[in-house]
Parts: sequence; structure tokens; C-alpha cells
Amino acid sequence: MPKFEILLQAIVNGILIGSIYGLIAIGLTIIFGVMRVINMIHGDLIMLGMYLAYWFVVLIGGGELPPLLVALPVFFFIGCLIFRTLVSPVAKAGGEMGTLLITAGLSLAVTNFVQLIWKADYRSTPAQLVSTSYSFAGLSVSSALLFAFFTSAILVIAVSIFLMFTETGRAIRATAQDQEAAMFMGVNIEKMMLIAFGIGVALAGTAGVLLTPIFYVYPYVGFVYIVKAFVVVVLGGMGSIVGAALGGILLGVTEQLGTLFISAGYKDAFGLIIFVLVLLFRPSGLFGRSRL
Amino acid sequence: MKQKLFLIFSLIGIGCLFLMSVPLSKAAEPIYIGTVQPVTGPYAAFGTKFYQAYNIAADEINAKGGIKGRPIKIVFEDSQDKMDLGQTAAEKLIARKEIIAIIGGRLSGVGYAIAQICERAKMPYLVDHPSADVVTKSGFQWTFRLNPASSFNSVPLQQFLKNVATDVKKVACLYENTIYGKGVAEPFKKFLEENKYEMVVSEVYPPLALDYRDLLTKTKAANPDLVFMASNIPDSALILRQARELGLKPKMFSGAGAGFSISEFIEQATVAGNHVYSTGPWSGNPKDPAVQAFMKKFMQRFGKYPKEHEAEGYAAVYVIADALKRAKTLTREAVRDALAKTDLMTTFGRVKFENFDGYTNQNNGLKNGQVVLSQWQDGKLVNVWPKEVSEANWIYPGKY
Repeated sequence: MPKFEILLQAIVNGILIGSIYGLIAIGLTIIFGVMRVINMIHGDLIMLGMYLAYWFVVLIGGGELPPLLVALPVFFFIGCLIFRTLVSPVAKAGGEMGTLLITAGLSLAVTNFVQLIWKADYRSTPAQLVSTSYSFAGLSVSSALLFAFFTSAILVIAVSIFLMFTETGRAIRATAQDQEAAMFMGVNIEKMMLIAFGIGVALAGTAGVLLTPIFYVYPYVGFVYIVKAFVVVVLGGMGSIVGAALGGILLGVTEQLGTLFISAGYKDAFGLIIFVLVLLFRPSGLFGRSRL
Repeated sequence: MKQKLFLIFSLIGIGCLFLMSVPLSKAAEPIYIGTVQPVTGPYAAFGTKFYQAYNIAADEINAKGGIKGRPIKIVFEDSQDKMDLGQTAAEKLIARKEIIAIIGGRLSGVGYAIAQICERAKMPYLVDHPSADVVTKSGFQWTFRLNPASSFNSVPLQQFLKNVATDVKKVACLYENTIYGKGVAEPFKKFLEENKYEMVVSEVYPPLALDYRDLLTKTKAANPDLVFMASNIPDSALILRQARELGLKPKMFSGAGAGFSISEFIEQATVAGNHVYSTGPWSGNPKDPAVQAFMKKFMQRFGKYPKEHEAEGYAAVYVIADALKRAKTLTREAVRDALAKTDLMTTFGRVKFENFDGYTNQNNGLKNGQVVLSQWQDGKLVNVWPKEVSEANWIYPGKY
């Protein structure tokens, strides 16, 4: 039995890492919830967010906040662009399989283009943020992780409020529930999908910015994220924001405790055991029924 | 009509160009050597290293007139460091009749896969980096390895523990769940067992994870004197960064080559990587003028100093060129026979393929002094053990 401090450290780390898992999954879950598009390029958008933050810090300097504020509108715009030019026309013609393939294709194109211009090197911002950590009663917590935790908490709450209490948010939820019924009620579903896609992509970009001081950037880093993101999305319930946030934390804590008590070799297995258990008892995920 | 005429004329033009190019290229038909490397994917940075090393060597050889009057050309196939893609890549190279040897492989698992295929297809294969024992311990007759086998990697560290770091009692071993990770860690664990060290943590982990805090929290709780790691680059730097953040402070961190002996490690880990040791293949004798000249030339052309990978890749091209020179005919079989008789001084040290201790066609890096213990000191990786090739004194215990 490990000491209490070690146990506490593992749980705290699990929650913090889990919040990052949640953050990378939220954008994916919104896009899936509203328009049933499995967005394969999600991981690469996170990668682009990381490059944005990297170049921002290297060329201009400063902390985390400026690139974060730039990333939100820039990635919202990128999202709208992808939706208008690729996803929307293909969705009309090819349905779910079509959008899956077009986003997967775009993902390959983007990663290879990024490798072409920025090379395959591993990059990370100067480690000032990395090396700082707060110590408290035998616990040590990375400042970058803490910043990511609070920012993602704020983002989850903000997006939830937007969807719950604003007119546009209600229209987006209506679109998610039943597109035809929403259309009959006078909702411009095309526009709602555009906004939802933009928000999803903007969240991917922000996640990238927050991950930059924690991880490192290279063209194929998106793959690491997208695998976790899919697990979290299904675990939390496809389309549920709260589900993604809590699903991420559940996965994070499980991995940390599993390693502590058993072995790191089975790290991915612990995550998937929880995954199977949740789906066994709640086939639509933790919060599957209350979509958006 | 106009369009049709244009089309006909352009076809004739292209035809003329084609005809002109045939006799020109025939005069200096290159000798093709294939290689399987991660050109894309998460380990693409390693593919770049070998691309630079092979080409600088090939350019030198070609500038001196090539081999038997013909230039050599290295043909790259992408494996993304995945075993299945590596197999396909090797098969593609073998299918091209003009390719008479394969070099490279990068990842141990990929190297092993290529070695199996080459054995079946009777294609000479020169390994320059994959280090797992199994590659040259399977009795393959067509596979040769110039770099040290993974069992040798930790030998300098073992000597260091016995002679210098004698106060080390508790050891933690963290290694990736791959042929390479196990190939390095298992011989070292055997040494620990035989010499009555207390192994407080022994953990395999899946590579390319986001987070190693779980592993490191567990390690910190066990309070080891030495943390031994076998990891590739994205992971190695991240482990040290997160260890620093969690306040894990053993007397000694030591990696086993791979992710710890390349410049990317210190660029990513920065302060957290200072004083970290690496036990494994050297990058040539630093006191040898030929090695110094190679380092300088590489720096001028690519803006960085070569390390283990580049030194191995550079030497591999010279070894294959030497075999091609000695081969009676330019066939795969003749190249294999010539490779088997190799005894060449390269920038990586002496290369001579021998059969010993269950290895076949393995260059004895242990005997030839090609494994060293080195340490990151203020951004530079310097050899600290054994004495004959050391560049600086060791800093022990390390300040982490």
C-alpha cells in the first residue's frame, strides 16, 4: 500500500491530466453531436494550435494568454472554412462515410504539408513554464497543467452556458436533436452547423495552445491526441460536453491509479477496461442521453 | 485542330527529350542501394538524420569517382517506423533488380522484420542502428550489423557502477514496451540481479504517451539511487521534464542511447536534461582526426554536430562502398560475400563482422570499444567512461 501522499499525488495528477483529455475531446464531441460528423482532422487542428502557440512564443514572446486569445477567432474561422468548402458539400452528397473520408484525407494532407514546411523536428517552447511547479504539503503540481486545468474548466462552463441559455445555443441544440423538426421551426440548420463546427475547431485550437508548454510539437502529434479523444468521447457519451469533461477525468485518474497499484505496461488497458465497463452498463456513455 | 496540333508537337518534344536522356544516363548508371527509414510519422526526425548522413557519405564517394566508375545512389523507402510498413518497404526495394543491398532500418522491430525478408529473398542487409540482439542472434546469413548489439549498451554503465558509483544500492528501470526497450533493459536487469542490487521499480510503458507522471510518482515513492531508462526521443525528454517537476532526484539518471544521445534530447529537456547520462554506442573516437573532420564537415553542411545515428549511417555507406569495391561482380550474392570479409577502419571505429556468443555477422563493438558512457554537461554530450575515450570528468552525483 503506497503512502497517502503518493496516492494523493496520483489522484491530483489524474484529475489534471484528465482535464486535458477532456479538453481535447470536447471539440470532437460537439461536432459529432450536432452534425454526426466524425472529424478525423481534430488531432491535427490541435497540432496546428500548438504550432501557433510555439511560433507566437518564439517570435513574439510573452506568456500563454495572447496566443490563446488569437487562437479562438483564428480557429473559429478555419473551422467555418473547412465546413463550408469541404464538410458541408460532402455531407450532403456522401453522408457520414463521406465526411469521415474527407476529414481523414485532409488530415493526411495537413500533416504532410506541415512536415514539408516546418520539418519533422520535435519542438517545444523555452521550458520556463515547464520547470515551474508548485509544492504544497508534499504534493507538486505543474503550473502549466494547472493553467490548462482552469482554462479548460472555464471553456467547458462558457460553452455550456452558451448552449443552454442563448438563442443561438438553443437553435444548435434543436439542430442536434432533430434536424428536420428544427428546420420546420424556422432554424437555419446550415448556419447552426457552421457555428457548431467553428466552435469545435476553435476548442481544438485552444487545446493545442494549452498543451504546448506541457508537451512538444511535431507534425504527427495529432495522432497521440485523437486516439485518447475518441475514447473519451465515447466514454462520456457522444455529443455530451459534460460527459467529455468528466470522462476525461475518469480516464486520467484510472490510468494514474492503475500504474501506481499494478503496472505502467497496462496503462492503455486500464483505460479500456473502464471504457468497456461503462459501455456495458451504460451503452450510450456516461451522459449519453442528455445530448448537448 | 490547334489543340490537336499542339498535343502532337508536345508529344514529339517529350519523345525527343526521352531519347536524348537515354544515352546520357547510360554512361554513368548509378549503383543503387536501398534503405528503409521513417521518412514520415512521429519518428521522421530520425529519417532526416540518416538522410543527411547517407548523402554526405555518398557525395564524398561519388566526388572521388564512385565505385568501378559508377556513382552510388541511396534509394529511400518510408516505414514510419512501423513493422508492417517496413516489411512492405523492404519488399519493394527487393523487387527492384538494380538495388543490390539494403542498409538502415532505424527501429529494432523494423530491422528484425527486414532481416527476415532479406534472408528469404537473398538480399544483403547492413544494419547500422537497430540494436536488438535478435537481429544478429537468429543465424541470418544475409544480415550484417556494424553497430553494437543492445546487450552491450549497458556495459559501460555496469563498469561505472562497480568502479565509481559504488554507493548506488536501489535501482529503478523504466523502459518502453518494444523490442529495443526490452533488448536493452533485460541484460541490465540480469546484471543488477547477479550483483545483488535492489531493484525497487521495474516498469515497461507504452511509448508515445502524453504523460509519465504516474510512472514517475511511483518511482519517486521508491526513492532510487539510479534511474535507468530505455526510451526514444519524444518520451525521453518528457520523462526528464516531468521528473524534474515532480522533484524526483536520484544520484544518477542514465538513459541507454536512443532518445538520450541525440541533440533533440537536450533541446527538449533543457535544464531537466543536464547531467543525465547515456550508455550506448559512441559517435566515433573524438580524438581521431578523421572523426573530427567528419564532424566539422557535417556541421558546415547541416548546421549541427552529428551524434550516434549520423556516425553510424555515415560509416554504413563506407562499409557498403568498401564491399562493392571488393565484390567480384555487382550481384547481391557477390556483395554478401564481400561484406562477410569486411575489415575496415571507419569514423565509427573498426568494423569487422564476426560470429561469437551466438551472434552471426556482428561487429564486436564491445571489443572494438564502440560503447561508452557519456553525460550531458551544459548542453554538450561528452564521453566520461571508459577513460581511453573520455572527453571530460564525470559529475557524480548529478545535480538534477
